[in-house]
This record gives sequence, C-alpha cells and structure tokens, in this order.
Amino acid sequence: MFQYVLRRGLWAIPTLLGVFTIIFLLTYLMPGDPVRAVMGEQYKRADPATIQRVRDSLGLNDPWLVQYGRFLVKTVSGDLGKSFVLDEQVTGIIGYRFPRTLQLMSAALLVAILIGIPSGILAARFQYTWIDHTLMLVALLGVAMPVFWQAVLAKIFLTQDTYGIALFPVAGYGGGSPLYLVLPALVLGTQLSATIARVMRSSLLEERRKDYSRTARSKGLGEPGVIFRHELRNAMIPVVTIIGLDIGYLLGGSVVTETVFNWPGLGRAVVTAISRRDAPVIIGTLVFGALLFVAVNILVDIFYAVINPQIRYA
Amino acid sequence: MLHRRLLLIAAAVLALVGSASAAGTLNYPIKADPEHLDAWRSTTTATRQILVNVLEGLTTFDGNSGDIIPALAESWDISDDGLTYTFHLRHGVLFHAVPGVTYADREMKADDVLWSLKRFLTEDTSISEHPEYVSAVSGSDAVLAGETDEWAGFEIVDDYTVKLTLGAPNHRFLADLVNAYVVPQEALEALGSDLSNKPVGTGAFLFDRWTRDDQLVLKANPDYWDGRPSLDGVTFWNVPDDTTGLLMYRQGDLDVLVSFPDGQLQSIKNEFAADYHEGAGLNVAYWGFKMTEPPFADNVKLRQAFNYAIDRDLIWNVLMEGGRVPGNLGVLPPDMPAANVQGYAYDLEKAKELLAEAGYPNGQGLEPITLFYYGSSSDAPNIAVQDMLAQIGVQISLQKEDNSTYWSHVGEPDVKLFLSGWSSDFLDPSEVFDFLFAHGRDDTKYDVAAVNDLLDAARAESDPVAREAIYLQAHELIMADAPWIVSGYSKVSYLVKPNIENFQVSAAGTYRSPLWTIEKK
Repeated sequence: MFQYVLRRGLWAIPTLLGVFTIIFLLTYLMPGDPVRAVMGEQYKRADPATIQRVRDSLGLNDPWLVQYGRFLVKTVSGDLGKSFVLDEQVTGIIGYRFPRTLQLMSAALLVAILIGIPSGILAARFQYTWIDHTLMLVALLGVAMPVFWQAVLAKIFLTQDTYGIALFPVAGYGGGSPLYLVLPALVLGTQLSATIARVMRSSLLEERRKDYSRTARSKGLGEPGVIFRHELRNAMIPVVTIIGLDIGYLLGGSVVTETVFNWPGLGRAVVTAISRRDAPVIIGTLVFGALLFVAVNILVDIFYAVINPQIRYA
Repeated sequence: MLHRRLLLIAAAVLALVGSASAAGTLNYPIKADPEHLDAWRSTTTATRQILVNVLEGLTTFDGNSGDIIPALAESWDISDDGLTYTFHLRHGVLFHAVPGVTYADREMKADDVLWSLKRFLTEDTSISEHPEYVSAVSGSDAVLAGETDEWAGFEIVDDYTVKLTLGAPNHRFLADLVNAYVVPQEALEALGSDLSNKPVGTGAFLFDRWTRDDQLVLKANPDYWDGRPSLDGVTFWNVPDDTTGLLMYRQGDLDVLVSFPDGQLQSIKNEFAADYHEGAGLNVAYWGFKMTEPPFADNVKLRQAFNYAIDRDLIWNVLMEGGRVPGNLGVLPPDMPAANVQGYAYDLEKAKELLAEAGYPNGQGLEPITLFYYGSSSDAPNIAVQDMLAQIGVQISLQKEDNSTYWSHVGEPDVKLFLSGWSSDFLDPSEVFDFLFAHGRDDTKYDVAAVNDLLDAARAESDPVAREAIYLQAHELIMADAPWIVSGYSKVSYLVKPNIENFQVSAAGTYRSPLWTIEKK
C-alpha cells in the first residue's frame, strides 16, 4: 500500500513540471503588458518612460529562458513571488482566497452528492418507470443548463421581491454567513448532481445484472438490502472517480459562479489576473490548482483501494 | 401549520438580510477592486475612486464645474511671470487618527506638504508612478536623474506657507497638484509598506477595512476640517457583473448604480424613471486612422471621406438607445473651452466625391481594411461603421480583441483603423491635446509640427482667453487633418435612490464623485 502511494506520488512530479512549463509559456506568449492592461485606453496617460521602467523592474524585458528559470527556481522553493499589479504576495492571495473557494466547492459537492446519489439509486431501482424517466429528464436539463443561466434564474426568483421572493441575498460573501453560500452552492452543485445521478444509475444497473446480485436476491434478501449491502459498494467506484474528476470541474465552474455571485474566491482572482496580465498570480494560482488536482486524484486512487481491495493487487 | 413555519423562516431570513445595511452608510458599487491604495502610485480609476474620499492635495476639482478650487491650500498667489506659486495652507487640518500611527504633531503643516510632494519625484516605480505631477518645479530634472539632492524649487516659508518655483510657466500645474496627495510621514514610518493598502491622510473619510474582492469600508472622519460628513461611512461593494449590480440595486442592497448591463438602458430608464439621472461626461470615443501607414498616411481626402460616410446620430440615438451624444463636433468634449468647431456631418454624396478625389472612385483600388475594436466595447457601432462604409464602396472587416491584448497591439503599424477613447480628468483642452495630438503620443501617431508648436505655446500661456484662442486654432487644424472619426461624447448616467441627497457627479465620471456631501435620509 505504501509503495503504491509512493509510486503515484513520484509520478506527480513530471506531471507538475509539464503543467508548469505549459502555464509559463502560455502566460509568456499572451500579448499585452500589465501596465497597459490595467490602464486600458488611458494608458497614454502613463509616461512611456514610466511604462518602460515598470517593465524593467518587473523583469519583463528579460529573455524568456531567464524568466522561465527564475519562475521555476522560485516556484520549486515555494516562493510564488509578488503580484505585478496588487501589493500582495501570491501566497497571500491564495491563502486568502482559496479557503473561500474551498468553502464554495465543498458546499457545492455536498449539494451534488445529496441530490445525485439518491436520484441515481432511485432511477436504477425503478428502471424504465416514470420515476426513472422523470429523474433522468431533470438530470439532462441540469447538465444542459449553463451555470450562468442557472445563476440568473435563481437570482431573479429567489432574491427579488419584484419577481419572486427575496429569500437570499443577491450576491456577496457576507462575512461568511451561510445565507450567502446557499445560492452559489446550489447553482454550482446542481449541474454536477446531474452527472453524478447518471453515472450512479448506469453503474448500479450494471451491478444489478451480475451474478452475486441475483444470488443475494434469490436468497430472499429484500431490494433495499441487496442494493445497500451488496451492489452499492461496487457501484460506487465509477461515481468516486467522477467526483474526483469533478473537483477540477468545480475549480473551473467556480470561476463563473464566483463572478456572478461576487464571491471572493480563487477562480475570480485568476480571471482578473489574466485580464491584467499579472504573470506571478496566473502562474502561482494555476500551479497551485494543478497541485490540488493531482493531489485529489491520488487521494481518489487511494480511496478506490480502500473501498475495493481488488485494486490494491491489480 | 407548515405555512406558518415557512413564513416565520422567511421573516427571520429577511431580518438577517435587512440588518446587513446600517442606516447612514452609503452602499456604493465598484466594478473592480483597487490594485492598491498607494497615494504616490494611484493611476487607475479603481484606486482613485477610493482615494479621492480619503486623501487630499493642495487643490481639488469642484464637483460640479470641474474648476480648480482650494483644498489643503486655503489660497495661493502666482507671480506675474507665472513661475512662483505661493500656497497658504489651511490652519487646523488634522491627519487621520488611526490605530498604529502616533504623531509628534498631528496638524498638517508645510513640512508634511513638501515631504509628500518630494516623494513623487523619483524614477523608482515602486515608490512613485507620477513624477510628472511635480516635475514642473525647477530643479526636478536634476533630482530625477539622481544628480543632486538640492530641491531647488521647493521652499518652506513658514509652517503654513509653501513656495514652489517652476522652471517654465505651466498652466496645468494646479490641476496636476489635485492628485498629489498630502500624507503624514509618521504614517509611512509606522506602517511601512502597509501604508500602500491602508491610506492615511486628511480627507473626510478614514480608511477602515478592506476584504479583497468583497468590500471596502470607509468611516466618517470626526475631525475633518470642513466638518464631519453626514454619512457614518461608505461601503464599496465589489460587483464585477452589471446584471448582479442591477439586481442588488433593485433589492436595495446598493444606494447608487453607476454601470448598467449592455442593451438595457431603455428598460432601466422605464423601471427607475425617478432614480435615473444623466449629465455630460468627459470621455470621447473615436475611430482612429494610423497616420503613418498606407492607405491613410498622406491622404487627407480618404480620411475625410470616411468621416462624411458615418451617420453618428443613427449610431448613438437609435442603435445605442441614447448611450452617448453623437460626435458631430470636434475631438474635445463639448463642454470644454475651444470645443466649438465644425464637425463632419453625415453626407453620403460628399463622401463619395472625396473618395474619388482620394484616388479610389467607388472604393476601387482600395484594399479591404480591418477595423479593430476591443472586447468590452459594444459590437453595434462597429458593425454600423462597416455597413455605412460599404455604402460608399469601402470594404471593412471587423476584428475584436480582448482588452489587454488590444491596448498593447493598437499602437502597432498593422492596426490601421481602430476604436479608441479618452477620458479627461478636468475641463481643459490640454487634457485631450497633450496626450493625443502632441508628438505622436496617440495610437494614430498624429505628429504635425504646426500643431505641436501651438500646443507648446498654449501650455505656457497664462491668460485663459488667449489660451483658448490658441487651442481653437490647433483644434481647427486637427479637424481639417481628420486623424479620427469622432464617434460620440459620453454621458454620465446613474441611478440613485430617492433617500440619498446631494449626490453630485463629476463630469470626469462617477469615480470622482465627492461622497462626503451626501446625506442619507
């Protein structure tokens, strides 16, 4: 088991190095510089000599290999540098915003699991009945509706006295009040729950056709017993994979959700950094995101081994 | 039973939401977090919008007229040769009482002013991004170049008098001092680099706290020299999405709305007829020609033909629902001195004639031209230009680029026709001319010796009437050269709740609005 974890961990190194190189090159190749990006059409107000001095002081006039080496050495030693634009260390930006993104992601994941897994089980148990059809139709709609549209609908009907009931605040972080978390988590989570429900259904259906299920049923065990004691455990493996991969989706989806709900998270910080050509923040947060994604996938692999011992010896 | 319980929950929820906004606090939206709050490096509207409420310079702009009025200087004398400025400081101005900063002398005096002004004068961009605010003072060049520590033109006469001597007359000097904020040296010593995120000064509001990408809170300064503001404070809410902003305003979470979702102007005017206000702004939108590249270089008739082919009234009054005033005059916002010149009125026949005279009858022989525009601008006006130019036989293809890419690309030679714009800070023609028509600084690369000379002469002219005459002359030359297709002049439009009184909007934009005059009933 330890060897297995170690092997998976070592494989992460070339992955991360590749990710870093790609992120650096993409950032480097992006046209535009931070001074002009921040000032927009007013950039002519900045003295051309000042723009040049700012570029010099940020090291933007160095050859790309020098910049690459500098970023790589610093990143490996854990120093993500200082933002070109904000008076903040990149580690500080991540340290402040990531917990808020994590808060949103966990709440969304909870919503997704609470809706997705029971609906998947119900749909499989009552396959080809109206329950199955209704649940899967709703799931299809859930996958098809983009996050920003769901957000607008949710806001119009749940935050406005004019068109619906103002149950929740329109947007904002509200100093961490759970009330502010409900809508963004719901919007981010529902789409995911649709995927989970569909995977849960098909995976469970497959297990239900297997010999051991038939044996269990023929021994006279009731349906709930067959599902929860025997089938579910095996059927969960693809679902866990999907949930693991969806952490990546959540990181991406949180960008839109954070923007429309004014949520001070990491996704929004990355988007702002890209529009400001703020290379240290772009590189730092994306490398952090990649690290997170790789770590989650290792955890998922370990989790497989825990739920299904067959994998350990495979 | 169930119904009653639901109602109770709803009521409790509403009470929670309601208690979030305290009475006497103004809830004001900002689209982007400030990059920092550094007095010496504030360049973007995002930083200035906050700082104008916390910090002050010797002079400031009148909220309504845009004229230069006294701030920390009570009055000033200018010598007859226009070189010596003697500022008489206001007595009894106290710096902000904030935790962590102790003052030897809390009163703002001449030494504080000189210390703050001198700090602007460095090439180190991590300290100051605006040496130009004070570089008109004599001896500044030598200081900037690091040749001397002698601050020749800066002089303390007594505790309440400061004398600045310029190297050459410069009528913009008082305006440049508006953003040259006075900050106590003790604050920099006590807070160090934290000062760039926690501003300390003399303004009507004190900096309280800032949770990034969420909210920034200012409190009333009880010791303000002009009396404590009526508001208890201002909360700037970070609202990047305009639709969200509108929903928040409708629900009462915001007291003011200064930016609207695209294409909804008319419906917003209908829904909030009583809250809607608009006034003239100081931004000019234009399509620029690259004056150094064919086909527009050395072909004034071609540029004029394009100008006559554009129906600006149709674009702004019909397509864009009155979003701007059609650009039927010159390159200056209509309220500026010297703005009243002959523009290019829509005339298709004349456009066709000029196109033929330019050597391209019915557009024959003219290569298709790419019109570049940027991501955050509306598509409609650019598509309209494409369509209108097709009427005289000119083929235009459109290319939209994301904002950051755009502003680095637009100055390059391959961009021959492009959308741009310019916001002036105050009502002086130099705000447009010096940045866009002098020495090829604009992306058009417009650089005409006769115009450069006139602009230099105007800058040194201290008599406003004579200056306006020179600017008018320059303006007419520019219009005849037609380096731009003027598109439209901005309107400052906003919604404000009926219980908010004395909300003044500066023509320079809502970002310069003085929030300390506001009363919330």
